[in-house]
Amino acid sequence: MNPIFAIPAHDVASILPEIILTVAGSILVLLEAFLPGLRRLYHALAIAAVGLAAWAVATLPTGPSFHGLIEATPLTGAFSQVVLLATVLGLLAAPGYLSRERLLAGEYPALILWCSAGMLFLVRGVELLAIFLALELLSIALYGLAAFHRREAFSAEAALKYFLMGAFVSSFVVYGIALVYGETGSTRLDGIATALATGQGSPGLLLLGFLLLICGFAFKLSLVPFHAWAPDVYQGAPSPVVAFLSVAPKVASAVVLVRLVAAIAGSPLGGGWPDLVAALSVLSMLIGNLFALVQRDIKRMLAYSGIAHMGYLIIPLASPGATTWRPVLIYLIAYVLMNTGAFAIVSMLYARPGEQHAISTLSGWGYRFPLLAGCLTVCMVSLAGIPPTAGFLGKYFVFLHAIENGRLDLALFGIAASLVGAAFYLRVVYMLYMKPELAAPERTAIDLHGRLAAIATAGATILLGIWPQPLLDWIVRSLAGL
Amino acid sequence: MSVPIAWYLVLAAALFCIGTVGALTRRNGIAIFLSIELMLNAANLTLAAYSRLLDDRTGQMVVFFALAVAAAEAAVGLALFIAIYRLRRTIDLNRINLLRW
Repeated sequence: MNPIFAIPAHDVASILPEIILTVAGSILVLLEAFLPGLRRLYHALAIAAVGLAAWAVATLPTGPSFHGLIEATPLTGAFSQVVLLATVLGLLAAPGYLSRERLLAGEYPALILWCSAGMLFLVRGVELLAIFLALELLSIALYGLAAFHRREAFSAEAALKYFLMGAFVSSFVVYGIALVYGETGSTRLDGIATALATGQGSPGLLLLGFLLLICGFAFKLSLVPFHAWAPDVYQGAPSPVVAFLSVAPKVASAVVLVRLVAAIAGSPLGGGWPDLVAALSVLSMLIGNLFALVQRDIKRMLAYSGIAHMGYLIIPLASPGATTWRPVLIYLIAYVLMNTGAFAIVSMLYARPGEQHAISTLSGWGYRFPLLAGCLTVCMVSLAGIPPTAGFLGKYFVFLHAIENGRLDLALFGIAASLVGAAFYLRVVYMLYMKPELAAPERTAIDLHGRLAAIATAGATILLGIWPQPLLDWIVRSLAGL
Repeated sequence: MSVPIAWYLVLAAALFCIGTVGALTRRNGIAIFLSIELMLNAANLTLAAYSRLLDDRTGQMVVFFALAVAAAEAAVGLALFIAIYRLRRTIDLNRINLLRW
């Protein structure tokens, strides 16, 4: 037998978390076919599977596997846990909405779990083919999720737009892989870095290849000018899907973007990259905050706010180095909590899917739904970056990193952008508490899971703002190897 | 007599550009999807040509995976087209415009 086709046991063990997630997803689809009576339990089962995967990630031995296609380090472990946290919150946010819309089915948690498996691979991929396959696994699952409200034209249209733009950009990624592979002779990131350091290959084609690759991940992060899909998809797709789609893929894509920028920035070709990243970041902060100011729909507003947040997130990438990871990780944790919380609450409070989710609908609801409105307020305050919240903590570390690395310009721009941003976040809080009630709610989708997600995200957001030390210690431990 | 490798790369680049222009200018969903497939296949041709040039099999393996992924993407994409056609009776992107600024 050809030894290439014998997969060693330690390779199989190294993908245990992904195996758990994919098998659990497949079981859920089978349950949907044979035991649909258990539907109410599907989300609990999926959350249990994610818990199991989190345990597997925590006990994963470090080191490369599959001939160096993927690699586990304490750093990837930390990012994997953040992905799994976003997955759990995404699963918690869904059942209330799905049962109200009579869409409860095993496919929903299954797609979320498969998507999550793709993201875990993406976090650990150190080879371009592995990265591409992981990216497609997560993207294809997300296309299905965006279209999940199948009787709703908004949902189908959002999914179609997401699919067409996603497929367009993934062909950029394949072409980028082809050019980088052809000019360096390697598809592994370390091999590519070595080849770049020796000045191998045509600089023009290599630059083009890297640009195409970075386009692909800038699209996933919805950085300007690859952001056009985000407002449409966020508005049209079912709200609990957006709670997941707007955070989890960004965690995984940010890891790859940091790796790609690090691979090229250290090479002789690296001269202009920090400025390119800075330009993407400034444009995203600018366009995101300005357009969010004029939105009347809360989901579109949060989409532009997400674009701006990705702008803040990549500020540290403008000064590449081992210190980049810490602010990125802290910012992503804060973003996962506050953004998922905001979308989970939006999905519970708004009556109709698809149509306008006008911010003014919330007028006066602060007294009708004290708990959820309180949690939404916490998320908004955190998104605005006001202390004592996780959002402030994330911004503090990002701007601190920029100042320490001589990018005072980016830090100042970021601070100015946050001040503009505070206006539209606080408008939601103003509507909740200061305006008279316009209309009584029609059909909310408040359930135990959703309440749990809201309390967990808002509580963690506040807790991290007041007492961040345990988190910072955990991050120091995770980044110790760098 | 053999065709120089560089010709394949130029052909692939031309196909990629044609696909890009098509994807950006077409308004019919299926036509856009076809253009995207053209771009993917241009990338595959580049990979195969480089694989020959470098005398290294990695490129050809990537082509197989890219083909499989394109097939999976086509399955999901065509399902979406059918779903949207059922709801709206069209796949013309100029008329699929519920989502606006």
